Amino acid sequence: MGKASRRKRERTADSPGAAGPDAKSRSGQRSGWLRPLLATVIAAGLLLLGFGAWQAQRGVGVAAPPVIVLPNPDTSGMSAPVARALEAARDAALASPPSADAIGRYGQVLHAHWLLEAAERCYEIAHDLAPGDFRWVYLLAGVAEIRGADGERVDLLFRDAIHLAPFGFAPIYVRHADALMRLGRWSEARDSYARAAELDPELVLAHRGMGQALILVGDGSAAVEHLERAASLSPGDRIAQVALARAHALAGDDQRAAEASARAEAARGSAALPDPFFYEVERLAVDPESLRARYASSLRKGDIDAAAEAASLLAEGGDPAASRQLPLAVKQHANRLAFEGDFEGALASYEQAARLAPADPEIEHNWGTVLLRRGDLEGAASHFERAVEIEPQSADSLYNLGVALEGLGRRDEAIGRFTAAAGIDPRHAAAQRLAELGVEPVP
Amino acid sequence: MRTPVTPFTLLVVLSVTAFCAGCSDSVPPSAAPATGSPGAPPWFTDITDESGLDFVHGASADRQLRMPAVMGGGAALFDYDNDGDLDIYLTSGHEVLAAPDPEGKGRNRLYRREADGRYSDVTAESGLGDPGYAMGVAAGDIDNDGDLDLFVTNYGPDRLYLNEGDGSFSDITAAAGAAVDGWSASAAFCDFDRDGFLDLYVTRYVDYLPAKRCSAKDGRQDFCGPNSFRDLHDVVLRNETQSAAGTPRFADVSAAAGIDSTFAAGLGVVCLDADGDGWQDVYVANDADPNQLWTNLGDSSGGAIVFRDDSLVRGVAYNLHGQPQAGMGVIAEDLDSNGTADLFLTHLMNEANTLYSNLGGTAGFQDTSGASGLGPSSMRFTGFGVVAFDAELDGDLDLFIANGRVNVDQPVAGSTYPPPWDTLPEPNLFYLNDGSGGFTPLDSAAGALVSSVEISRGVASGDIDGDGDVDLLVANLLDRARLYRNDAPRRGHWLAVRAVDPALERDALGARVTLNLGGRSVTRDVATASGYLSSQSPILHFGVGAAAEVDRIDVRWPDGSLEYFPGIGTDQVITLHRGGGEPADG
Repeated sequence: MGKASRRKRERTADSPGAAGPDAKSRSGQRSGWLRPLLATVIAAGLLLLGFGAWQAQRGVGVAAPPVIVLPNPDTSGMSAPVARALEAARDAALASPPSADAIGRYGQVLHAHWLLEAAERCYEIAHDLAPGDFRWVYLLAGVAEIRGADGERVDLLFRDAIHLAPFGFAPIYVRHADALMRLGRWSEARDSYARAAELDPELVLAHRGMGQALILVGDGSAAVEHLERAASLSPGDRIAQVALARAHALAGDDQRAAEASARAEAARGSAALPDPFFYEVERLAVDPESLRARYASSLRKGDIDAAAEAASLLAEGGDPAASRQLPLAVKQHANRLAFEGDFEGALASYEQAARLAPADPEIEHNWGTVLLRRGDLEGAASHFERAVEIEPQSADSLYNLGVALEGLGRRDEAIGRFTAAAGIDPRHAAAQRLAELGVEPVP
Repeated sequence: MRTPVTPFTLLVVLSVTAFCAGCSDSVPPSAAPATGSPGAPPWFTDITDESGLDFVHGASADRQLRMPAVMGGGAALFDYDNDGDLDIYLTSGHEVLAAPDPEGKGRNRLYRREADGRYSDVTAESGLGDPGYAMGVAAGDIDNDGDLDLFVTNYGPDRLYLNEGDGSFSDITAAAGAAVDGWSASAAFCDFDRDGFLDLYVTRYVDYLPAKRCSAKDGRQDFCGPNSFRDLHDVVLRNETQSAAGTPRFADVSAAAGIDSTFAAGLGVVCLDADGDGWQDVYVANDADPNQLWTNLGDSSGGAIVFRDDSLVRGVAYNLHGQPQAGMGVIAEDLDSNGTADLFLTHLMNEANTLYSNLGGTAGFQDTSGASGLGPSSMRFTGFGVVAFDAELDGDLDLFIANGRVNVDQPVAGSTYPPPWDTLPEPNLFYLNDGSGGFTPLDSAAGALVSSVEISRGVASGDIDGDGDVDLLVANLLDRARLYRNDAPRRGHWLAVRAVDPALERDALGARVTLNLGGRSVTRDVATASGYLSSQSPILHFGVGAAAEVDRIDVRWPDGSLEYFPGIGTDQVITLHRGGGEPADG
């Protein structure tokens, strides 16, 4: 059959009223146009629904905002400052709309108190909300690694963090390298330590880590070079000496190994990584042990406000010892400064000491003495007055007050104070002063 | 009449299919594929109930959170009655820390394995109840009379029990001069001076002050750690027994041995010949202190027991970062199948367990925890007891680690322990060795061995049911001890070797046994001290893979002499007697 004939037959078959299917069928076709239309509509609708579900599954298209569920550790039994810090941070993090800073901060507070699983979760959320913020991916990498996350994940997190890191930030390469070491990827660790040392040639932990990695990859002589560099930068670093001993032993140099062992035995310190991001976390810790350490270091540095804050938090947590000790500690600090000739520092510390212990006559007396030495007679007199008010029987304070008053030209008042002091202690210098002034002491 | 498939029908079908494709649950792939065949029986089966083992560990479990209470107890698998099967001894504390058990009987238990395979509590007739607050146990024949004696370590005075051979034991601590005071942990019987009599190394922990209170980083009251107290030095007792006829005698030679000036919180101990000179050295795992590798200088000390700490120069004092770790349990086994014993230690959460691979000779060891797969996977757990054994007989040593925390945390879901003990349970870990020292955790296939979430401590291993594979006994804190039968699919043959010195009438602890299998060899040392606070069977169990027979067996006896024994078929237990082989060149 030719094509034309076939086409003619098809046209004929399809034409309304065409012969072929009977008339009933033709009328069924006319009224059956609904059926294909219905089928099309149904099919289209189902296809659209299916496509939409598929897209939702892929996370494409308009999705409902994710519900953020924050960790909520049980704070019962925790010390009051810790519980309060956690609860306050969580409350801030729950504010709407979600804030990466607030959630990350919550993570930091959790991290500071070694609630690492919860901290990791917060850092993940903060990183998701602010993927360009270096802090969250960096802290997340650190916590994930400590918690034993899969090596590939840890490596990727650190690489992401490196990509976002402030220019020249060497500590991140050290942390990455440490993680690679623990994963057994020693050559990569060596390279990362090398990068850190390149960025900061004085970074002890870069040279130390480099040395440790070189030992593991079998390059003993290079290991020794870097370890000796670390030891020279930080002579008290025990770990560098430990690694040196091992490096020398592997090289067969028992003599030098023994010498390094002896130095390791004597060394007590360990160099720290200068990392402000992790220091920030440590600073947030308000557990008793951290507070005690902060109290002690604050006192050493003379930061009395910080010491007082730590003491107050300790007392709130049930440990009042620091609060009781603080006034004495501050007074002793002030006395030490005065003895060393740091009068400015001493005066500031006496002021703080007096706030902590307003009824301590020794504080007022010493405060006045420093002012006297500086020539501030008015100031000195006022503090000696206060000292005498608290402790009327103090011959020393009465005498010093007399000296200050005499210097101010208030001779009669001065003589009164000298007389009172001599009355308490006839052998006191006050009696001699009276004699010099030609005044007979009252028997 | 056949109904045609109309376009309408086809379109609807296709549409529905498309819709349902969009509806399917996207099941994320599991993070780590489970090894073991789906639907296969678990590799380990908890047979505690059917075995009759009804031991429950006791401790001073009040809310004072006393440190000794959280350390748990040990387990021993040993044949005390010489009937050829493994009996069980388990240690326990009791409610009052500072005083002997109020009932005066003690809660340690001796279980005898009966002919029907069940265990009977025979503590009363044995005299091994011990009223002290027990920690660990070491089994060894101290008088070479052919039966195993016991040394029990306590928080408080330790005790030495002499096996009378009739099912009973006598406390000979004072008479034998074996009194060790303070807080002892693991102990090991080893012949340091090669005089044929087993000496004793006892690790000691810290000088604990019960009044001290400690807190966690979040301010909650917590168990104290070792850094809160003064460390104690270990003790070595030289066995001066002359013969099996007299009363055994020991002398404290700690000072002469050079160990009494080293103070560290010792918890785990193993004996091994680390430098291959034929003299037994000692490795001690310390908690938050550098470990010690006490090299035995017996070759040059004229028979005296003298040690030198070579841990630092041999690379086993610290981890690869040069930091001390919280060492709990330790084993010395050839985990990378290269013929030398490696060291593996369990540690605290957030510290990886550490594998020190033996570099051979005097080169020492190298921290290969990361590369082995044993490091990061363990960081979420606090490991204690550990044993190495060939679970599926493919020729390499697999690892089981008993876990359980020591610091309070968030409560574990489903835990039935009272608070705060309900924050301490953890699942255990079982690792499969790939044959060259790479390890992969076996999850669900391991069965109850890893699915049980308890506060696990000591572990002992041995072929309890005599079927040719190694089973496990796990001691749990404040809970039942558990017996796990090995039902792993067998991938090879086995050979169990007992090395005995007839002149000494005992197992030759310290002997080195090497099986030669065609082109390869497998080496293990005879020892009972293993892991944490525990003692294992001295019978060496080898998985030999496809080898149906062993070509030759070499033995280096504790006195340094060498013998070889002819080849033998596998899948049996054999006993090698010193003098029964052919002398071999050194």
